This record gives sequence, structure tokens and C-alpha cells, in this order.
Amino acid sequence: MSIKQLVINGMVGLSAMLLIIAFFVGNKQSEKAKSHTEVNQEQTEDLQDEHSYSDNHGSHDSTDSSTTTDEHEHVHEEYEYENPEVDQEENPPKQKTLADYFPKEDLEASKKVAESFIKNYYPFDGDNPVQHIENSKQYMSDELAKKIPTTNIRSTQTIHKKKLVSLEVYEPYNISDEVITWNVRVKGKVFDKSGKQTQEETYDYALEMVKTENGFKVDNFTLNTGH
Amino acid sequence: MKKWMIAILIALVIVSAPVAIIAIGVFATMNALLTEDPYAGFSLSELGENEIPSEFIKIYQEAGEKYGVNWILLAAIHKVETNFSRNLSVSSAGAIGHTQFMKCTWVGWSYPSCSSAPKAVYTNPEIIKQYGGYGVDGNNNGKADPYEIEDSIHATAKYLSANMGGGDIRQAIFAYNHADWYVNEVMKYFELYSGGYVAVDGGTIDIRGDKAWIVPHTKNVTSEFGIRTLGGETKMHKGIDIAGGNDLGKPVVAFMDGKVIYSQYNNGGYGYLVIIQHDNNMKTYYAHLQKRGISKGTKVRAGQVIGYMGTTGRSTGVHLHFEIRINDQPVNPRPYLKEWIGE
Repeated sequence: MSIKQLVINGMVGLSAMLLIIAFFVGNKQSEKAKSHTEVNQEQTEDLQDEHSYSDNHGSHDSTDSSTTTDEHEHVHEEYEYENPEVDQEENPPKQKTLADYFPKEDLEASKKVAESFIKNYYPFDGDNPVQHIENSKQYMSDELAKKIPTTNIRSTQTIHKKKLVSLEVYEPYNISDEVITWNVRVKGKVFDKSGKQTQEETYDYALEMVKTENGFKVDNFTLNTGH
Repeated sequence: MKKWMIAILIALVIVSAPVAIIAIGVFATMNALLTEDPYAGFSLSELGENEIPSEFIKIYQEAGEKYGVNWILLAAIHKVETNFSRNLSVSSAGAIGHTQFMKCTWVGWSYPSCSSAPKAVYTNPEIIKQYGGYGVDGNNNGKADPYEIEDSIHATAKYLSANMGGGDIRQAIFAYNHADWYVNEVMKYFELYSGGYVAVDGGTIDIRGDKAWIVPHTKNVTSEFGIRTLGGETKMHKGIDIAGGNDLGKPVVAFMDGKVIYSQYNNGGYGYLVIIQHDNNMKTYYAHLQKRGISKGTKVRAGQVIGYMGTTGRSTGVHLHFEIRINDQPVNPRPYLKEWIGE
């Protein structure tokens, strides 16, 4: 191999290396630019939707159907009323309640079951971490009882026992005409492993009830999720 | 001739090496800058700064980065399990170490009589590997010991990562301890330590004493109470605005116990508005709701859902406009919400 050829090959190699690096960097930049463009387009569409809504907001009995947006700079213009209560309707339409959809006796029976379920389910004892599940199984539907795990439940050093202080069953805002739902507000005390009370807590359980041949049962429930 | 060739080769290497090093450096820097940080939106809250012992933060961060888990979540689990290692006794169930692993999970459930495995066995990385355990030698000292903080935190990150199918944080926490209250407690600290400025998921209703945070999924305040300028005009903003992204239809909850005295579409620009009368001549306003909120006359509890976020009325974008009025005079809501968003 001649010296000239060696030098040329070396330069070609170096150029190829720089070209490859330039390609990757360029590619990355164009991907980034593309994703920004897509986000901007989505946001523009969102804002257009919102403007078209506000142009027609006289028909205010329809619910807001605008698309979601990640835009954080939300603003509203000055409100017309210093005191917004001046347009108070004498008899504003009421939301539907459970009583509009279900018989009174079903509501009373399901409410009692909801209360009994939480009375047994909420208390927790780290020395017997499945006892509360066993105690409350009689109030669960078969499907829920199958779903509730009874293994790998343990106390922690900070939460070893929970004791129920009070509970209150109330009707949720978002009800269904197909399933009876109840919310249960619980106040309880929490103790660590040494037996020291570490906190008082307030929990909100949302329960779905089902009517079975053995009366009402809890078919599903969530904790503090805003239902 | 051969000597000349060698000399030229050396010269070529000397010339090209710095160029190549610079090029690789530029490439690496550009790559780092252009790659999205998966936790870019998460920052430590003031409470997190005060509560999380600083000596652990680097360990959380290293473990989080290695296993793709948010480090603040690791801090939340450490808090709930042993109150940041202040209590390392063996749990009633037999869980051990800084983040309370069951021996069988640590060494591998297929290890014979795993729950009574001696320390020399369950801290042996080779045995752990052989039996599929989650124990990790995080500090590279040849042992995977749940009583060594680096090992324990790395193992927690590894376990969460393995159970976070599709990025479901709640599912991963539930796998760690199959109790709904445990998930709730860890999520509570995760949101408190990360300031809740980014919606982690649907959010957790947070009731403290007689008050509740009003928008469970975010604590991001987009506009403060006071004078502000809009379109060149200076106006008074009588409340605060809250929005965190993907807000439409997310629940809004009552700040305190009270009675709903107004729930309808407001023609003055508030859109669907709920007003709650509380004790001590206090009223709270929840504006621009998606649809009619909870009925007038309803007695509500702190933390009870009263409506859903929307952008009805004079609003450009989904958000909650929240006001507090004392004797019908608007006051800055922030001091009343300081437990969640600071003063």
C-alpha cells in the first residue's frame, strides 16, 4: 500500500465516521422537531374546540364536550357578577338520586350491608393480617370474594393496627341507574408496631352493591379514588 | 519506507484522535440533551425536602435510574415500611430490612424452606440468582443484604420494575403488599413528596382533619389570587386556578363540611358553579365545572365529590376556579390550602 493511498484511506475513514455521527444527531433532531409539531397541532385543535364552545355557550344545558388539553395557562375573563348568586334559580333542577331508580326497601337493605361490610373490613391487625377479610367475606359477592387476595398482606413498621372510630354511609354524586352505589366515610386510628398511635385518618370507600338470592352483597369497592 | 509508513500512521492517529474524541463527545452530549428525561415533571416538594433524609436520596436516585422507577416512589415506600429505617425490627409476617422484604421474595420462592434460610444463604448473590429472588447487591460488596440500605432500596426498585406492567404504579405497589390501604398510603406520600404537580394517576382523596384538597389528581396552581393582567387590562382575580393536564371530567371535592347553597349554570361567567356554605360565614366556590354539580341543599363532607372539572362559562381551557369568601368578601385561598400547596 502506498503512502498516498494510506493517507487517503485514513481521511475517507474519518469522513465516514463524522458522516455517521452527523446522521444520528440529525435524525434525533428531526424526530424531536416532529413530535413538537404534533403536540402543537393537538393543542391548536384543542383551543379551537374550546373557542367554538365558548362562542356557543348560550346553550348551557349541554355538558362540556371539549377535548382534553395539557395546556396549563388557563385563564378566564372577568366575571360579570361581583356576587354570582344574583342569578340564583328559585327551583334549580335536582340531580337524580338513588330513590329515583331503586325501591326504598332495596336502598335500606343495601345500605345496612354496606355499613356492616366496612365495619368488618376496615379494622386491621398486623398479627392476623387477613382476619378483616375473613370477617367481611359474608358481605361480599362470590366474585369479589374470589378477587380479594389473602396472601402477601402484611403490616408495616408504621402501620400495624387500625381501629374504627366512626363510619357514615352516604349517597355519592355520580350514581348509576343500574347499580346501587354507596360511599362510606370512615374515621379511624392507626397504631405502629410498638402500639403507639401514629395518626388519625379519614377514608372514603366507594361500594357497588349487587342483589343476590342471599340478599345484597358488596360486588366491588375502591378506596379514596373520588367516585 | 516502512519507517515512513509508521510515522505517517502515528501522525494520522494523533491528528484524528482529538477530532474523534470531540465528535464522540458532541454526539453523546446531543444525545443526552435530546433524550427525554422520564421524570422531568417530577420534582421534590418542600415537604419531601424536609422529610426525606438527605443521605438516602442518592441511593434512591441511583436505584430508580437503574430499574426505571421514580425515585420519589422508593422514598414513599421506605417511609411507609420503616419510617426511613427508624424501625428495623422483623415484622409479624417475618419481613426484614430497610424496606421489609420477605426472605422468600429476597432469595427466591423456589429455594427450599426459603422462609428459614440462614443469612449466609439469603445474602448470597449467586444463590439469589439461581432461585430467581429479588435481592440485589446494590453496594457491590459481594453480599445482597436486606439490612444494607443500598441493597434494600435496589431490591425494592427491581421488584417494582418487575411488577409495573404498562407503567401501572398502583399495581406495582399492590404487588409489594396486597392491601388497598398500603397502596393508598404509599400513593399519599408519593404525591406529597412530589408535590402532586404532575398527575400520577387518578389521584387520591386527601382529607386532613376537617379539610380536604379540592382536586385529587393535581396540585398545580396555574393562576394565583390577586391583581393580574389579561389582554393589557388589569383585573382582580378573586380565586386561584388549578389544572394539571388531562383534567376534563376529573373529580372536584368539597374543601370542608357544609351545605350546598348554589348549584347551576352561572350567567356571570362562572359556568357550572357550586357554592358551599360552611361554618364561620365561609363560602367556597367551585367554577367552570363540566356539568351541573351536586344538588342545592345537599349536606356535604370534606373530600366528597361535588362535580367534575370542565371549562364552562368564560373559560379558555379545563381548570377549576376556586374561591373562598368570608362574609361574602373574596380572600386569598392559599393560606387555607397551605398544607398542600404551601403559603
